[in-house]
Amino acid sequence: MGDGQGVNMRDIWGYPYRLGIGIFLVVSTFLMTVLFVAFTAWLERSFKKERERK
Amino acid sequence: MEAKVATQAGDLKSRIKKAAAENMVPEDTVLVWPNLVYIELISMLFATAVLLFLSLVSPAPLEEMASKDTTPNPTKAPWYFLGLQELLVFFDPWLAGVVLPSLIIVGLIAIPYIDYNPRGKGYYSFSERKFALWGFSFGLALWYILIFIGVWFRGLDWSWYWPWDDWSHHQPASAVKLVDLEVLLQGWLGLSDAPLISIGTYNFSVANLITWAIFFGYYGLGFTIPFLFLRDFYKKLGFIRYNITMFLFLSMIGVPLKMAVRLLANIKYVLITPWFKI
Repeated sequence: MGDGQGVNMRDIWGYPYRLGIGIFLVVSTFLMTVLFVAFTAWLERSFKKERERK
Repeated sequence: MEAKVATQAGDLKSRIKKAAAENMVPEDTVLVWPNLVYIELISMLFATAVLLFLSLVSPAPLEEMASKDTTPNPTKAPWYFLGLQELLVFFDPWLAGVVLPSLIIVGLIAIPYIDYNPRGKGYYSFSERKFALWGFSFGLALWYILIFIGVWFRGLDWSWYWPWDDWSHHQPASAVKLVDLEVLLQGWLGLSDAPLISIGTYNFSVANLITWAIFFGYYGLGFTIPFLFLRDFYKKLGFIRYNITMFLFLSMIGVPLKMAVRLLANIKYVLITPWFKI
């Protein structure tokens, strides 16, 4: 895809690293989102426990 | 009939829960002064102490006096603006520098007016506010990742450098050229670039009109699918709130999507208009 100008993409991991950057961007954004959501879920659980203890 | 009764029972249950959350008995509550204000004051002092400590151990990265003889390469914005600077790689300057920041600010201001879900007021709740928290977390994560890229992965000429690359050498010229979607469509479908419609001095070819259709198709589908399949979501928000929410949400998702299209499919611009390029 996008390689319509007869350019040989021999090294997809070589400069300009577009595949690598693309994967990095998608995966790291997803992982950080999951981390934030996991933190909020953990906060909810610990606050609930605290409320129940009272 | 049974389903209707079950739904009504569910509604009643959620209404009781909501009323309980909003009308807590005085014994379950505390006064703002001194209980809350004390905690806020202590937090403020603690944050100040942490900032003071950090600024002492890690001084601000101020450089030498500016000189026209030694232009820094790359010229990087302060770290908190590097996300915006990184967006400039992927978007038209007008979009990256004006439209997207404005949408972020307006969107954040609009949240209290759009999100009137009373759940989570007065107590912390993730399970009752999943869409809001996932959406916000995604936007925040994307913003941090863009800053992270700008700080740690951009070197000479704003080229991408992995940590194991030699940062003192310029990266070679790109071996793969970026192509506009319009040009790709012309090649794939054998279309000419002759204008099909002309409005004033602006000309629109068939391939260009297809890219307009793809662009509006993205927003169109994004607005329609939740409207058809998540009726409760639509009903809770109402027409105006739903449309504003979906516009902001789809625009937010569209940013990394457009970046991924460029990075993974080598497409430079998805849509070319006489005024700007996306």
